[in-house]
Amino acid sequence: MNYFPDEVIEHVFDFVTSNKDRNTISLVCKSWYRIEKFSRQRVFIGNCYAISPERLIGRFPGVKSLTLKGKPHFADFNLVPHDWGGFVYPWIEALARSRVNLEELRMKRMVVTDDALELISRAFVNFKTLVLVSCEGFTTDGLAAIAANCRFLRELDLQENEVEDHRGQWLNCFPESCTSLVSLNFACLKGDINLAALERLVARSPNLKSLKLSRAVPLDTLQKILVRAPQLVDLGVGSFVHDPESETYSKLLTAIEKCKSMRSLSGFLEVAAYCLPAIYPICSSLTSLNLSYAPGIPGSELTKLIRQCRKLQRLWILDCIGDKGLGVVASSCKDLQELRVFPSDPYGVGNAAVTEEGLVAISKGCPKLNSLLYFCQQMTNAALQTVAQNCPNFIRFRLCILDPTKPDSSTDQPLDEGFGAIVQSCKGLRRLSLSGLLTDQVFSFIGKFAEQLEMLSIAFAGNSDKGMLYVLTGCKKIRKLEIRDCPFGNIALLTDVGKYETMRSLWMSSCDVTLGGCKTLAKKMPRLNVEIINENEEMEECIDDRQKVEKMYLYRTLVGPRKDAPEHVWTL
Amino acid sequence: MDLQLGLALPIHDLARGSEPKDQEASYKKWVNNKRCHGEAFGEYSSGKSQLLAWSGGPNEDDDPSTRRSKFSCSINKFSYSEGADDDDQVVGWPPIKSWRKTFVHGQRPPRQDHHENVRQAQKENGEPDHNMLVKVKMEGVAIVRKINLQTYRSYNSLKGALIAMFSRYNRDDFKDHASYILTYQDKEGDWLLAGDLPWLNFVESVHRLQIQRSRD
Repeated sequence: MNYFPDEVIEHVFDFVTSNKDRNTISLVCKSWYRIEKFSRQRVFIGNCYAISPERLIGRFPGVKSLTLKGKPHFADFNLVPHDWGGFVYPWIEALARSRVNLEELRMKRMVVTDDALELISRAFVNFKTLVLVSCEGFTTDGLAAIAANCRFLRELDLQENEVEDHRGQWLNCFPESCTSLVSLNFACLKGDINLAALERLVARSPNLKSLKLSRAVPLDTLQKILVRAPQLVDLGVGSFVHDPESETYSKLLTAIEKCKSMRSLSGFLEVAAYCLPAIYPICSSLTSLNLSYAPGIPGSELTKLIRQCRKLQRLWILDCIGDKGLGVVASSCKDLQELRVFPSDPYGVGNAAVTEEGLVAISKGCPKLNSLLYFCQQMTNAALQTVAQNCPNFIRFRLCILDPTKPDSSTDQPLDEGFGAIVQSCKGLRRLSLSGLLTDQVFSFIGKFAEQLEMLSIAFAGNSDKGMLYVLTGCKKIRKLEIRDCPFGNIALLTDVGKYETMRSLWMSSCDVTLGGCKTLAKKMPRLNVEIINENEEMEECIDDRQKVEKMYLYRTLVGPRKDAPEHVWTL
Repeated sequence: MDLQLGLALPIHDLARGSEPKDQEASYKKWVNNKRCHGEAFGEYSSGKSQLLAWSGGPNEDDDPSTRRSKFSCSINKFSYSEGADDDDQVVGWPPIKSWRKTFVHGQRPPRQDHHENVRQAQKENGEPDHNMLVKVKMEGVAIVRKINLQTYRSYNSLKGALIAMFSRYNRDDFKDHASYILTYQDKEGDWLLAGDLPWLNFVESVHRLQIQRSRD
């Protein structure tokens, strides 16, 4: 290979797309390292504090597509202070300064300001793709800058972000010359939208394949949009309420019938159940359906709809569908691979409407199931064992029993056996979330059988340090471990400190680790940042090493302690 | 694999081998060993005005001698029964994205401190109803239903849902929603036609609902 000119080798490397493989290639020899370095275009940074923008640019100067993740996962549940960090501006500034030709930026749980968005829009001439998931810190003014300045924008995808709305004129900022849009998702915006501007934008975007509307877009606008864009593959409906006797509604029916390419439906942010029959004509070709943002649809209407979606591979739904409704899913959707059942009463004062019965029914009817998120009232070991037997292909298994320490509802035993069956049967399991009454035993099973496990979430489980140790010693591929309210202490934390350099991060909150234990760890492992998050004013006065730490977040890093941490976050 | 599970859990800090009849008690004791935050959570969580904190406080299963930490807590008050108070909720549990909670289900209603300010949507036992459950009666149907007003954003979606809910009792074609009239009783006891007030004001003043077919 070394007798070929660099361009030829580079061309060969183009076929190697996995970053893992490219990393391996870099290790072969200096020449390959150099060639690979300059030709790497896609970089994924799972923790924005593990590396600095300067080092990224030095290592991969040709980067075109960057993915950045910021806050720890538990930030989704309000366990991380608002100002903890994850600011993207320094990254944008560094990339702009070094004249990196950035085309794609994907971010998750980062703080994104309007300034950052504006800088992106002006600094990167070929910028094409912006995907923001669970981010915050920006307003529609920032979106206006992106719309106005990114001449070749193809993708603007806002998923579940906290956006301050300054009254929807940002859509007007797309110039008439912008005709390149392929994907536009603004479903998470709460304010008004200039509907005429939206219709014109859709009309001049012949390549538009994915469109997700906000609640402010009414049914009559939807109808007009669908007439203009029957080629849509992926649609997020905003408001879906109208008089079914009206002319608008019958025009909608006609428009929908022409959408022969439609494969994915979501949204219904506001919906009247009696309008749902309008989408029946496209149900038979749908592969993905997300009704989890649509409260208030009775279970009977949900099942009427789902019965017709025989090709469904992904379903996100609220638990008002009930166990019986899940039975209908099981008998209708034989190709189902991913199921998420969310509580329709998330403030926790009601009862979840699904139990282990619904899950067992699904496992019997949908053997291809590989990804599950299931919020339920109760669970049994027998049910989990049945599920494990019927569905050995799980990659992601996340079970949340609303009462987090509830035992097996028929035997009152811990759910160790049930989860043990899951990890033993599902040899490809990469992500697992536990709940229910659990002892150290379940961790023994996990350590022994979950060989591919990369991410584990534990809450209110275990009896002693042994539990955590089983996981740390047994799970060779574990990358992210997040633990809350478990009796794991310094012994578990400090037994194998080297392990943490093989992982991305460890989160422990309301456990038994002490300040002293964390300090010891930080001292032994200089390439870890051990952060103590401390919102309790008391702690500042009595810094006693024997004190238990409220929240600890540690992660491997090449660049030492960060300089942007707020006052109550200490890096030891 | 030989499982060591006896009838009693191998409980941290407690004597092993409790009697079978202690089984339930020992689960609860174990559960009481959890330490709690006992702590104000903070203002930043998307404007939610509530403290989500463990409640300290007495509980019939709370055994002081088994507390491991300086904070008192009891998971047993951590109940998911209807009408449970704010203080019994745990921070960050259930693990649903807080974005989803507020976007789909609205802001968690603030706890009422003063009885005079209690909202009209109340349950019979007089406790503030966080879910805004309201009774609905359909004319001609004997059974009164309850719905959660928080799940609707407009009169249309509310009306549509009610019609669908009652359609099983009513063999008429329920798509004809224009022929239904929605009325409500406000806090003064007056029956009014729904639709005049802005939606949020309506939600605050409604006490009970009625839906009926128009007579023309």
